[in-house]
Amino acid sequence: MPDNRMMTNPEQKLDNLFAAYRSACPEVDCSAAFVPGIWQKIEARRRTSILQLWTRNFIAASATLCLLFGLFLISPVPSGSHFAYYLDVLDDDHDSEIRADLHLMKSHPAMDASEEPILVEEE
Amino acid sequence: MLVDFEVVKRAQQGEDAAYNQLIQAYRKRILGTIGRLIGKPEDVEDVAQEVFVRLYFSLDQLREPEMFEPWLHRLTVNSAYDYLRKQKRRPESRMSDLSEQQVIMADAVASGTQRIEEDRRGQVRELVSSLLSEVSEEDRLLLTLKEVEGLSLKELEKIYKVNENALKVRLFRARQRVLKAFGRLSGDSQVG
Repeated sequence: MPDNRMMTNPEQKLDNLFAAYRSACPEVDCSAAFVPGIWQKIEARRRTSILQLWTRNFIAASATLCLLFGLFLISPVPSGSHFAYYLDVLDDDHDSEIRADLHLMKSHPAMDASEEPILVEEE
Repeated sequence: MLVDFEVVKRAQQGEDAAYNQLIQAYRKRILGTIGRLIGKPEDVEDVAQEVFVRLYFSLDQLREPEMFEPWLHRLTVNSAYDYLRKQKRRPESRMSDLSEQQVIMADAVASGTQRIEEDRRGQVRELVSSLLSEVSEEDRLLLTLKEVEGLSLKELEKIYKVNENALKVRLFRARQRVLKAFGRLSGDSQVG
């Protein structure tokens, strides 16, 4: 072992070693595909994030819809009076339709015998 | 700063040309740092690309352009750390695994008589990697940034967002472990 090595502080030796390591590491440069590769990755990640955003929105909308539908289904059944009223309205509506049909039948020209034929003059 | 703050601001506003300028300015530094942090030349470019992709998507969160470099360093460290985590734990080389040649090299380097041949450079790299494998992955990155990359405590504080004293303690412990391993190695070589 050289004598000067014995005199060197271990801390100093380690510092020397780190310094040697720093200069021993080769200068790295990138390939020609480096920058285009970065942009490709950026684009790919951008597309993925847009897709994720759409998926998230779709899931949120579906969940809201399900919740609303669930609330609608568990809401209380309409009371008897309301139900009856609804049937009455339907019934009334049905009667008025029949009356309207009868009225149409009476007023239809094909049903009226007293009507005079239309004369068409020929030259 | 390798670029004007104006370039950072323009890149923040989404100007692609300004972003390309940032890549051109910092790519060598980032590639070098990553090379020393991960120690696998074949993967350096991939990790560096990841750093710049992360930078692109997080640049709008940077409030002060003056903080750009610590910010970029932080992204670099995080990307390198993520890469190392993804890799299977590397088989740790122990001092006993080092060849006799490496032991001689340790002495040669420490006494300032290192030669410049490429094979010896390779040995230095291997030796330091072996020494750094004595500490945890986090401490290895921290030690590399401080001792090899030459970052100051202030810069490390900005990167790690912990106070200076905590960093000092952590660095001291990591360095002591490496020093102990180095001493063991030197002792072994003396005996040999």
